[in-house]
Amino acid sequence: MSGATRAAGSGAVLGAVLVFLTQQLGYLSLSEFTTGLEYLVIGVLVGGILGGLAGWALTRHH
Amino acid sequence: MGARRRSSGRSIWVRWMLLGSVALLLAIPTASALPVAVTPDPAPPRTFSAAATWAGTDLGQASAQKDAFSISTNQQVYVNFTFFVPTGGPNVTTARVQAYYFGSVISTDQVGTSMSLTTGGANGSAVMNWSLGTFTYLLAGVYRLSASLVASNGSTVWSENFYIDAKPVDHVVSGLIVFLIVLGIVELWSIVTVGRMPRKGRSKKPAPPPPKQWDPSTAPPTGSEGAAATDAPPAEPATEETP
Repeated sequence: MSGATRAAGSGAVLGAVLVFLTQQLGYLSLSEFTTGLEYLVIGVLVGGILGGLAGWALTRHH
Repeated sequence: MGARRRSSGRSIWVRWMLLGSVALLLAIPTASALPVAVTPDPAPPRTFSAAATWAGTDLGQASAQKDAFSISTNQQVYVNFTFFVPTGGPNVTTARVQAYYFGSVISTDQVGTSMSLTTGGANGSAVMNWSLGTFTYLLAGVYRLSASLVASNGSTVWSENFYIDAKPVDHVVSGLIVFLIVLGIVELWSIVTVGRMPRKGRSKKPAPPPPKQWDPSTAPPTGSEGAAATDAPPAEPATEETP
């Protein structure tokens, strides 16, 4: 598994973690199924893309 | 001459008659303005009505997320239900408060209702001491709650949604927040250390074989005999046997 793929996976988990953390801190409501799923999918996608880019950049420099 | 005077006097009399009749017509109020004898209507039949308060505040004031009721995660809140059931209406037996997370019910609290007969129906009420229960030290944040009145046949007669914002007790973060922070740090560390991973395709060179131990018997002598001897694999170093 390449570094970028691994970082993308970690970024996706981090995105989901941030969504749940935002809800726990009172800034987001995940009570509705569709709304919660939307937030979660967006968090996972954005986190995955950013993590993949970060991983690609970091492995490129080393 | 007398006939002309008589006819002019008659026309004046007709004019006055016309003017009078017009004035009379204008003076007569229209039918709509006529005072109508008002008969007292019978009292309209009362319909089902219900309301609930959260620590004395109407639930409608927290119908949006930004207006959520702020509570501590270990706080207990009195939810007060009042309702009126007309005669022949549903038999409301249970008052219920449910909390939702991802569309699923994560906690349900319910109490029985008390009814008192009154004219045209019955007044009912219920008081619930609500708390997060088993999730006290686990959950925090914004949640949608639903207060509802349930009939004896299981159907929901009335319900109202509202939001609460549960703050952790005494600034001690909830269990889920701790878990999420630790997981976030681990994943962040995993991304940061990706650069230290060996790049794919750049395989490490195999480690060089250990240097052969020098043995004087296999030392390359000068001559053809010695050259043949060097082709042979190196002899194992003599090990000292213990007596």
